[in-house]
Amino acid sequence: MNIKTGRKGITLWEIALFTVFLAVAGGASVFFFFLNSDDMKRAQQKFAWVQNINDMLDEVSNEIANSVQFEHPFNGSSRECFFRTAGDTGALVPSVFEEGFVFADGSLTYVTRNAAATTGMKRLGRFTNPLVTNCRDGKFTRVSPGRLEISFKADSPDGSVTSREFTRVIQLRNQ
Amino acid sequence: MNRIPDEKQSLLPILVMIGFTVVLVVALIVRVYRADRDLGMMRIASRQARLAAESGINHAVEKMRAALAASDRAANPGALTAVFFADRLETDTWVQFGQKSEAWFRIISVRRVFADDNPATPLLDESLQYQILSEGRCGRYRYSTSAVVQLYDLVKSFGVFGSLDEHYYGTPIQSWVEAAGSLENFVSANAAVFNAGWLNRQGVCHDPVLLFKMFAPEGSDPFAAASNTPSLPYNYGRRFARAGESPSRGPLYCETPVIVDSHTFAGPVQTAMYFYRRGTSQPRIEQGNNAVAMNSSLRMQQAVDSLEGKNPTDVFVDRDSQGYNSFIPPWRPDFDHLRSLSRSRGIYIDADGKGFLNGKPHEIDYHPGEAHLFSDSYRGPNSTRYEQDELDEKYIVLSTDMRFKGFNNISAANLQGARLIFSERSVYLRGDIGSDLVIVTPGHIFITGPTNIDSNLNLLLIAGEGTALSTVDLENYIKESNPGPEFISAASEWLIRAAIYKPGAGVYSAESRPQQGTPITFRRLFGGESLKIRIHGACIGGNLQRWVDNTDPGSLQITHVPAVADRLSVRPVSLNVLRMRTRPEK
Repeated sequence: MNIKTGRKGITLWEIALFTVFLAVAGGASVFFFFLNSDDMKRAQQKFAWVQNINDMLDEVSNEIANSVQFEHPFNGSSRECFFRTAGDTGALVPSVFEEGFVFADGSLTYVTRNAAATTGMKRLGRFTNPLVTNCRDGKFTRVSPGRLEISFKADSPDGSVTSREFTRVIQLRNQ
Repeated sequence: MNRIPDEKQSLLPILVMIGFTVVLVVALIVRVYRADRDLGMMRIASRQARLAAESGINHAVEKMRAALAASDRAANPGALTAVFFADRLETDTWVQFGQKSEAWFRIISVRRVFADDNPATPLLDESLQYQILSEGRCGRYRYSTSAVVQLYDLVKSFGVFGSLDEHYYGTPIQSWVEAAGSLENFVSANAAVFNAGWLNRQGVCHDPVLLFKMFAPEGSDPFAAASNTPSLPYNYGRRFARAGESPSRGPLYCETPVIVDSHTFAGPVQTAMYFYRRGTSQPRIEQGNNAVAMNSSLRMQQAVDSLEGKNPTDVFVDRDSQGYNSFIPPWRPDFDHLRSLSRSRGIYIDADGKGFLNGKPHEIDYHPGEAHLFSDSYRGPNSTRYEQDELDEKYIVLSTDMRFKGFNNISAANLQGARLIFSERSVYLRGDIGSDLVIVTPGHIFITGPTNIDSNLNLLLIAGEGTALSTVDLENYIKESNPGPEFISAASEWLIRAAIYKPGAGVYSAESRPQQGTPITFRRLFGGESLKIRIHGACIGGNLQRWVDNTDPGSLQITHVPAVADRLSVRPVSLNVLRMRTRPEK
C-alpha cells in the first residue's frame, strides 16, 4: 500500500487519529451519561449517607470520650448510654443532670435526663436529632472499663442499602 | 526554501493534542488512585491534631511537677498562683509533638479553679485545682483540650502514701519465680497469661478469674510449672492473710491493688488499681466508710463474686472511680535544687563532713565517721533468693547526745536559724531537734532511736537511698550496761515525729549476722522482742514491708499528723489530671 497518497485521499494516519478521537469522544460522552445516571446518583447519595453517619459517629465518640463520668452501661451492653459532662470551667455538673444517647423507635437520639424525665436535645454539633434514622439492633457495649463499643445496622433513606453495619470503639478517657 | 510536506504540517498540533490527552488521562488515574489515601491522611491529621492537643496537657503536667520540685514556692501549695505556672508554661510558639510528626501544640492558658475544699472528700483538696488549655494542630485541623489538674499536698492528705503497697498486695508470683529458677523461665512457662495482659512481671493481676485463682484461701497452683521443675502444691492465697489492723492510722494510698480479709483501716483508703476483699470477709474503716476512691474495684469484685457463686451482699467500695482520679504519681525530690538552697539558706555539709551555714564555714562537729553495716534479709516481688546488704557508709551524726557527752549539734543554738540541712554523707539521727527542719541526703538516713519527740516542731527526712533503722547504738548499750528487761522494753520503743520520704529501707547493724539458710530478721533482738516503731507524721514512698517483717505484729504504727510539714520550706506535692476534654476548634 502506498502511504504517500498526496491530496487525493485520506492518509492512514488521519484514519487512525480520527478513530482514536472518535473513541475518546464516545468514551467521554458515555462517561458523562454514566455520571448523570441514576446509578451514579444513588452511589453518590450512598457515599454521602455513609460519610454523614461516620461524621456523626465522630461527634458522638468525641462527646462520649469527653464525658467526665461514664454512668451507664456499667457492664455488658445496653440500648442507651448515659454520662456526666463537665461545664466549660471543667467543673463537674451536678449528678442529676446526665447526657446520653438512646436507640429507640428505629433511631439514635441525643438526650438529657434528670431526676424527673428524659428529654431529647435539639442538636449535637451540626447534627440535628434524631441523629440516625432507620437503624436497628443498636447497642452500646462496655467492652472493658475503659472501652465502649457502639454498633448498629442502618438502612439508607432510599432503601437501596439495607442492614449496613456501623461500629465504633471509644476509649473512655475519664471512665 | 524547502516546502514542508502537507502531512507534516498537521503533525505538530496533533502531537500536542495527543500529549495533553495522555497527560489528562494519567492525571485522572493518579487522582483517583490517591483519593482514598488523601482521605485517610486527612483522618490521620485530625487524630494527630487531637493527640497533639492532649500531649500539650501531659507536657504541662510534667513541667508543673518539675517547677514544684525545684521551687520553695511549693512550701505552701495553697498560696501558689496561676501566674507561677503560667510564666513557665504559656507560650505563643508552637512546640513540635513527637520527633517526626507534622503536628504541634501550645499551652495557651493556666487558670486556678476557685473552689473551697470540700470536707466530704478528705482525699481531695478542691482548692488546689488548676485548669489548663492547650491547642494542637496538624494540617488544617485544630483541636483544643481543657484539663483540670489536681495538686496533692501529700503529707497533709495521706498518713501513708505508697509505702504499704507490698504489704497490701504481697508478692504473689515470688514463690513461682523462685521455683522456676528465674523470672524469664516463669514468664515463658506461662506465656499465655502474660501475653494476654492478665499478669505483669511485677505480679500485678488484671484478670478477675486469675485473681480469684491466685488469692483464693484454699486454692491450688494456678500457674504452669517451668520445664524440669515440679509445680507447687498451693496457691499464694493459702499463705496470704491480711486480717487485723492497718499499720496506718490515717488516710492510706496504694499504687498497687489492695487485697484484704476482715481488715480494719483507720482512715479512708485509695488505690490506683482495685480493691478486693477475699471471700466473705468484711473489711472496715473505723471512722465511717467515707471517701473510698478506687478504680474498677466494684467491677473486679462483682466478677470475682459471681465466680464464687455469691451475690455481692454489701458493697464496701462505693463505685468505680475515674482512672485519673485514682492514680497519683509519686513525688521525687530535686536534690540539685535542695543542695543549692542549703548553700544559700541553710546548712550544707560536704563530703568530708564539714558544715557551711549560708555558704560560710560553720564550726560545728558533725562527728563524721565510717562504718561497715549489715542489713536484714529481704527479697523483691520476683527475686529468687533472699538478699542481705553490706554497706561501707561514710556518715555524719546528728544529735546523738548519749554518745557525745550531751553535745547536741542540732540544738536551736547550733542550727542558728537554719531550716534545711543537706548532707552529702549519710546521716545518723536521733534525739531532739531545736527547730523546724528538713534533713536531706542523697545517701541513707539511719534512725538510731527516738527522734523529735519532746517538741511539736516539724521535721521532714529526705534520703535518696531511703530511711533505715540502725540498731547499733541500742545493741551496744545493752551489751555494755546489761540493763533489766523493763529498760530494754522501754528503750526499744521508738517514737519518731516526722514526715519520712522513702521509709522502710531496712534495718542495719554493725554486727555481721550472715544468713545461713534462714533469713535474718531483727525480731527477737531485744530481750526476745522487736523494736516498736511509732511514727507520728507521714510516710511517703519507699516500702514499709521490710520494717513490718523485722518487727512483731502491731509494732509498726504510723499515726497521721497532717501539720507535720506545715512550717517547712519543702513540701512533697504531687499532681495528676483529674479530667480532660478535647474538642475540634471551629
